[in-house]
Amino acid sequence: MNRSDLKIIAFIILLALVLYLGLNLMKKEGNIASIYYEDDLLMTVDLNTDKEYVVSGQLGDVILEVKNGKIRVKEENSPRHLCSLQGYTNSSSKPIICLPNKIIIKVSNVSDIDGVVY
Amino acid sequence: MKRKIGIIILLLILIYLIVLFIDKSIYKNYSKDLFYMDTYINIKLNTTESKKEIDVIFDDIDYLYSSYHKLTDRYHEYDGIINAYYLNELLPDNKEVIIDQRLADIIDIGIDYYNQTNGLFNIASGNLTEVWKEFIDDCAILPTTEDLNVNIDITDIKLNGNSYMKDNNVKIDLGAIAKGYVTELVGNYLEDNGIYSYVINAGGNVKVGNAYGKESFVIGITDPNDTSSIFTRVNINNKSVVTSGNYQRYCMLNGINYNHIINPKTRYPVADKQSVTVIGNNSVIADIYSTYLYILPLEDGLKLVNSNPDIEAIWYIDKDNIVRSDNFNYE
Repeated sequence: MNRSDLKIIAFIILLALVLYLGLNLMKKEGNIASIYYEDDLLMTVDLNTDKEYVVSGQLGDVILEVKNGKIRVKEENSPRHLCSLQGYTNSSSKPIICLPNKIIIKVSNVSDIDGVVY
Repeated sequence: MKRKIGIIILLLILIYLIVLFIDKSIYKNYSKDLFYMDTYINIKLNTTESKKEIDVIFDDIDYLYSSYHKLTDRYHEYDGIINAYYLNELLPDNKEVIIDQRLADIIDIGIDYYNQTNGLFNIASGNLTEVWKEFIDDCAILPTTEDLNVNIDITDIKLNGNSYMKDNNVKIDLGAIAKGYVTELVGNYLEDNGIYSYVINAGGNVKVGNAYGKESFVIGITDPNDTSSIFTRVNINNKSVVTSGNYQRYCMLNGINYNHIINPKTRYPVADKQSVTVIGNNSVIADIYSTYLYILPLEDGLKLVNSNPDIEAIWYIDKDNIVRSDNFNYE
């Protein structure tokens, strides 16, 4: 082993460290919602930008609205409109579930709650 | 130069092996969503197993929920399956049929708890819950006493091993037991496969294992007056939590809440409390008790729970009156 070997080793260790930290820091918490149809991820949306999104559910289009860091289902086609009645959420322990439409909205943030009974 | 490349390759292999080794010993989080039994089911696991192994486990769980969903479904017919729908709608009176052992086991537990609850937990009330379901869906004209005078006599169900026979068109409704039953099976299945840190949430029917990396799991209990928030949280390991409430399926008519939990004695929806949450070791029993205690008057329920070391409960009568059983020390 000479000096340049050591340099290479140092470089690789440094690279690994940078990659590790970079990947960890990229995981932004608390301001992203993931939209699923059954088990398939349709999209992830940024909760810091107020905007409307349209996804297709089992019974037609589901319109989502992001406002002030929260997300809700604004319009959907279902017999009792239970998921638009749920209102806004910004918590990972309170996913919005549109049962007839099979759309799930999950917010990722650090929550100390593992589940909710209802 | 050649030597340097050799060293780099060796280092990369070493790093790869270290990563593999660390990966094998690190607890990872997995989550799976399912839709069965008219509800959203979420399973969260915390385990060292790889994604490949967990995918197999999730497939098995999917199969468990889907097969029990079909067996206990009273609204749909499935090819080649004798299920609740078949027994209620297609099977004639006084004709014997051999049913799946899994379905027989659930009906058996239901009959057992009918006797243990003086008839307040009644799986034979299908005809009655049907009348109320129709009313809740339309929320227009209240059923008359005559409409409610349907057969819910559990002795009209004759279950002998796998042999099922009914009389007077009695119908079964397994809605208050099926979710808890499968959730208990899934919890046991996970533990048999060496996964102890898990949260199963089957439409608010929650079962948790032993929390890894923290003292306990934290489960919130929905506030009946603001269902987007919780009124308390419980810290639990190896427990099941089930809530029965008046805010899940209901109809508000002339200022009265008509919810989906029907007292088979009065034949009317329970109206004297907003929710009851039961914590117990077994998910089936917690599921049954949440319905039973919701129907039972508070004083009787409190006495019952305080004399039973296996379950604890919290009654949300209204926002100013929340009652806990003596040993409800999970908050």
